[in-house]
Amino acid sequence: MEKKESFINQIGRARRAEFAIETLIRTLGFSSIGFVLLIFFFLLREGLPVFFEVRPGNLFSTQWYPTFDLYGTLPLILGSVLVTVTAVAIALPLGVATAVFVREVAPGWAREVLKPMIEVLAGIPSVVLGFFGMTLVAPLIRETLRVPTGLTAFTGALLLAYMALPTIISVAEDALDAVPKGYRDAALAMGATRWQTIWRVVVPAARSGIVTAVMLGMGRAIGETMAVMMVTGNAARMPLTADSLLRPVRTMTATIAAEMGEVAQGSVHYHALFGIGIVLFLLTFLINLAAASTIFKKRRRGGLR
Amino acid sequence: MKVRVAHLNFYYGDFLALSDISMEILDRQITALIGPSGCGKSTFLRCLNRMNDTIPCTCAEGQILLDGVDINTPETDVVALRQRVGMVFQRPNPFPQSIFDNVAFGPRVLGTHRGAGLADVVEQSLRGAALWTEVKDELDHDALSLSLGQQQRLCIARAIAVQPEVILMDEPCSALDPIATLEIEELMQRLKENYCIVIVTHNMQQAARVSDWTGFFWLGELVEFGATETVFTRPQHQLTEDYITGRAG
Repeated sequence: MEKKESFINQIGRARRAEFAIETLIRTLGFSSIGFVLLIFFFLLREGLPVFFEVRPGNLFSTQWYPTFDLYGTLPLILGSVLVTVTAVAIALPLGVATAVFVREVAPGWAREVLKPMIEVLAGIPSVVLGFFGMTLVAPLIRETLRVPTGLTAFTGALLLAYMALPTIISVAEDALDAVPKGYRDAALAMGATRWQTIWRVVVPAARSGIVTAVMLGMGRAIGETMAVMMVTGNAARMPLTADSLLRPVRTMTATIAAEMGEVAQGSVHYHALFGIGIVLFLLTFLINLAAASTIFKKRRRGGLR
Repeated sequence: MKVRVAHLNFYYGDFLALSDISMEILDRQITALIGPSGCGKSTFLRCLNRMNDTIPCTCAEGQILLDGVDINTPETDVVALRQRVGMVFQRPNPFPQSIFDNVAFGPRVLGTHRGAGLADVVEQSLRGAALWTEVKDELDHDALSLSLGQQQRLCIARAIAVQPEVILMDEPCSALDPIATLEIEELMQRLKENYCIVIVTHNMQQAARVSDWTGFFWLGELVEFGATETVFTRPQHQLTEDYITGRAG
């Protein structure tokens, strides 16, 4: 009788431990969702007022001078777009070509060395890259292109391209790797050369993966702050002239980082910065959504096959 | 005679996969290669268009004469060779592109046809592969939306669009259902009027049904080669008889 009771006690204890662990894990899981929602809520609470405090005509004008109550966000949004699009335009061909080289051309041992090295590049802190950008890239651009300052949109785009490259290469390489051998064999057996096989069969077959790679790289580029702030010169001018790439520019992220420290909490300027945060959040959200939808489409079609 | 193989040895690294194979393959005939898994019949087939070159650490010794010219030499232009010796694979492997683009791939890559001429070649090839009537209104559809049997006929159309002289088929029906298999077999009978066909098959009834000549491979050796009727009714070797009656292999 005594023995039986202790056995039941044991089971009870095991059940309680099970229950405790389960509850703990569930709490942790839900709390991470909760934190994300809190961030979103906080962002909206601090940012939305600006849309009521400042007239839309002012908010979407071309001048950003908070001290004179001019909150034109257009130069900042366009600055971010200019730098990001240029960065992707540089990183896309480089990244895809590198992925093709690593996967299709390089011998096996070189691939084993190259891939981890490329992934290490992703781990370089952006402030270090920004430092390199200020001391090496900016002077180089000033002298070779003969512009008044090396702190330009183009400099920022170069650094961002460099930062997006590891992501693009790594994801694109995986996509190329997933292309079935049957496609290559079929093309080769028809008398296509190696290059024809790669450019006409393998790369198109990996297209959705490559698009995802670019989206992820772009997501990284548009949200990047430190390196961009260090090398783009931070002048909030409308980048609409033909030479805008070689003139200073100011991005949304750099504006928030530079001004948030000195702004009075609860002021219009404060709310405006959070408003920019909302715009930035929406942009990255849209890009990630686009990337996710290409992945989803690929899955629905039964993988890359 | 289209292809003459003389004393062919083939190595995967140190492993001797084919030893001393000699065979004569006639034009406008179907030659079937049978034998158990791993006997080297697919390896032999892939020697004929040098597809084994894509596998590292392999080596083929001996002569393979295509129209009297040895193609098993380092100087051989394998790209040009593969235009003359096409191949159809075990699993249907159409590109994830439209039906038209699949068939047009070869002519486009080789630069043989453009514009209206290209459309003609695509139509002729699809007719040649007995697929035209089924797909003529949906040439712009994704090739992967076709059934497996249609995909395999598309692969055959794609192969003949290059206008090869020899077509190699590596177990072309093993992924297909019986009806699709029958369609491919009927197609082969029509294709042999214009092409030299070599087919590897696991299915002995298929070899007996479709082929004019049969070669029996066993552990990397060509045990018996002759007219299909003779091989299946009066085999010269005990091993062949045991295999085709199901006692060996």
